[in-house]
Amino acid sequence: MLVNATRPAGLGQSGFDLETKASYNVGLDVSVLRNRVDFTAEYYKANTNGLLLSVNIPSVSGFDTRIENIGEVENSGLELALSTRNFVGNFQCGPAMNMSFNRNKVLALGGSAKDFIDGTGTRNIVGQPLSRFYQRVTDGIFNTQAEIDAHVPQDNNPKPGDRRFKDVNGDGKVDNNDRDFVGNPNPDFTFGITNTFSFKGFELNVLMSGSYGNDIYYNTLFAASNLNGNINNNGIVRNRWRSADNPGDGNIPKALFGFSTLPDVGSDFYVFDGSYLRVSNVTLAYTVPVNWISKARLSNARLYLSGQNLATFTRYPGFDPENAIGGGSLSFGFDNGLYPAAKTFTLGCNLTF
Amino acid sequence: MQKIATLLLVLLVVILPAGCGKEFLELAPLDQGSVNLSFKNPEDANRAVLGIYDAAQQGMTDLALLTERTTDNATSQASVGLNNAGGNIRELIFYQFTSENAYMRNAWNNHYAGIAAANQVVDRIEGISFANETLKAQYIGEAKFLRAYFYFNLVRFFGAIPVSLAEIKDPAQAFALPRTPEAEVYEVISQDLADAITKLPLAHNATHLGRATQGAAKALLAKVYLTGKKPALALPLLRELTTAPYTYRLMANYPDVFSADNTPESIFEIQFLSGLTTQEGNSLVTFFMSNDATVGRDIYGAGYVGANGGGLVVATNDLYNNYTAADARRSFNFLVYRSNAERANLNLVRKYHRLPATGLGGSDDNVIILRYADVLLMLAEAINETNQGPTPEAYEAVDKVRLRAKIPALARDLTYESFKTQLLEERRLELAFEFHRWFDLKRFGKLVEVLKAKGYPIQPFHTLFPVPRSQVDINPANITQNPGYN
Repeated sequence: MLVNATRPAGLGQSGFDLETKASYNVGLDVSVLRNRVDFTAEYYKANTNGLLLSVNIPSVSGFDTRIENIGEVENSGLELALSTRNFVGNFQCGPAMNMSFNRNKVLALGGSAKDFIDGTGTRNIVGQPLSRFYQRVTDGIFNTQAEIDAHVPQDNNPKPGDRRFKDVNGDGKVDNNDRDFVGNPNPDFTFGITNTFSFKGFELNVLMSGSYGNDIYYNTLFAASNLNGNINNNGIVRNRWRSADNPGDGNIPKALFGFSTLPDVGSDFYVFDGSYLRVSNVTLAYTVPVNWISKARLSNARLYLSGQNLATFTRYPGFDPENAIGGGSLSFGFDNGLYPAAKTFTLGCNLTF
Repeated sequence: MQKIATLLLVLLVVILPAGCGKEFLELAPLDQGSVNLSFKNPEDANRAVLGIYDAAQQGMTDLALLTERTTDNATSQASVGLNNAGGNIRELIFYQFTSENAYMRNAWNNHYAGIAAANQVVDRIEGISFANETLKAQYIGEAKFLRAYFYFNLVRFFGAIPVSLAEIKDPAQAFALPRTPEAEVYEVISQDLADAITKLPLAHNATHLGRATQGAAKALLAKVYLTGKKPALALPLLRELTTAPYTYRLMANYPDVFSADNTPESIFEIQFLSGLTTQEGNSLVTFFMSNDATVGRDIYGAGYVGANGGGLVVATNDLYNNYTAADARRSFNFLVYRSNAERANLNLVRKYHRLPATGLGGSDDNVIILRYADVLLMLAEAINETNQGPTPEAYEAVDKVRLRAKIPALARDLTYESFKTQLLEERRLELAFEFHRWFDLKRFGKLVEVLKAKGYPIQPFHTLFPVPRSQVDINPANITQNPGYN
């Protein structure tokens, strides 16, 4: 017999407050050459106070997390934009570019906390940038049992062919305390470049965007190169360790059959440079001359062909350095295999009657 | 004129928001009840108590893995090794538990969620005025019974555990809880159950069948005493359960215990109800099923479209072969495949079997936590321990269970040690896959000995599971890890 019941859904909240953001901007707008060149520079500093963050609490309370106003984060930076208009007879072009340099810093983590290690593999320290990756540090592959014996005891029961990790804190053993800052998902700068060319009725718009200097933690690779079953694995496993005489490229551990060792753990092996330049949009359009279409009672007809995500230049080996990055406010920069952005082509026309 | 109008408009826009104040922006969500508003009348209390039962329904497959798969009762299908089964089952297969194990973490979290629900009821029900004081006492008794059940599982799994008997309202309270030593935890559990015994009724009417009863509290307390090495305290409780006013009895046939809910043999069951819309069905049936798609159709017919188990938990040949051919329990508990090419030598657990023909929506089977056969075997155990040897009363109790299983009575020639070994075996066969084996082996002090003899790479520290790593990481000052794990 079905009955209705109620159960606590979360730890009680009181004293919930709004996040507040105080920012000040200083900017400069300059136009020269009879408005043919516009330049904008803006410096901003924004403090977000009372960041609503999910904080881990002991599950003896019945719950794992609670949302609290615990954080203070500072975002400061410089935004530059430059746009131009040029005319040469019937030909116009207007390249424009913007660049944004953002630096964030954790100012407070709530209460007296100075340090917050997140289970996904990031660590936030007051005074440091947000969400830096905090993982184990690899040191090649154990080739022989002698190498294992020469190394400090490692907590995942290694055999020849398994990864070697560094004893970061120097305590004579390798365990979860031997992690270090191995990457920063915050970019040095992001940018966009557009150009619009027009000639007679034709118009060509090109938009490119990109990011430089950010790291990505390639979590999908971690899941798909574990060599511990009969699932599909990433192609890098072709270079895995097979024996002391055939160690592959020295970076990929051996395949596991059955369950001889516990599987690989997160490490700096999966941190990659996520800088990219993407041709986001190219649109070629033709506006039909009015006298051609007036007979058809059209006042405007524009045909266009546009393409999205036409090309991406990056060294990042994952699917998509721009769209595949998930995470939360204190922990981001993880590629969990979100479906990459598709290259699309659109052919269309706008008709105004 | 225009200028004045504009000025006024501007002033209005600027002043109005400033005058509103922050209260204007403080809104309450419309879709969730606030706990401060929801403990006002007896109906609210009832719903909250039922919520604790809901918490008890969670994590059945984790319990199956932690109490059966970790023992000689269960193994995994061979193909589990080749599929990407994941580190969790691998840890159980190779007896290499780590603090990241998801089953142990789930058990920890689910049980504490239940405790939080129970604490909330016990604390807040005081403020509600009841016309019927007996009902109020009953609700408190139910909450305490379930709280004791949750703590009992936790202390047996993890050893010293944080204990809170009050609702935790602030994370700081949770952070402050240290790991209370086992002996004290058992004290807390015993007190909760002793109080529950005074508050719970003998039985419930049909509408409330399934709720905790006085007999359930006594049976659980007896088990707590036996686990805590106080058999003398368990003995009177168990004897009381065998006589009036309690009407528990063994069903005439073993299958009858599991073919209906809340039978006369059942003392406490976790209730489930099948059907797509309710999502209150029991997932154990499909969990115990092979990971082969056709098995479901073999058993339930061509209309079966439900899930298959992962093959993570199937019965061992060791267990199957320990039943004699005449034992009525053997054919009932298992579905075996012997010569089928894909599934050679497979023993599927079929004790829970009341799945709809489509296999969707879970099964109707309740999970039996306490039943009369368990009480009889516990009675024999208590007698053996207090008397340092079996008595006729002890033999008779065991024989009742054996004769019901259609196997002969015991020969009256056992010593304390051999009777104890026999009891362990009786419990294994009678209560297979009812979440007893690991607890029984541990209580009898034979977990490491028995499993090591059967070739398991078990170490002495495996008598406790590791505390979930996340809990140690969050609160390292108070939560230390169990020895042998990091």
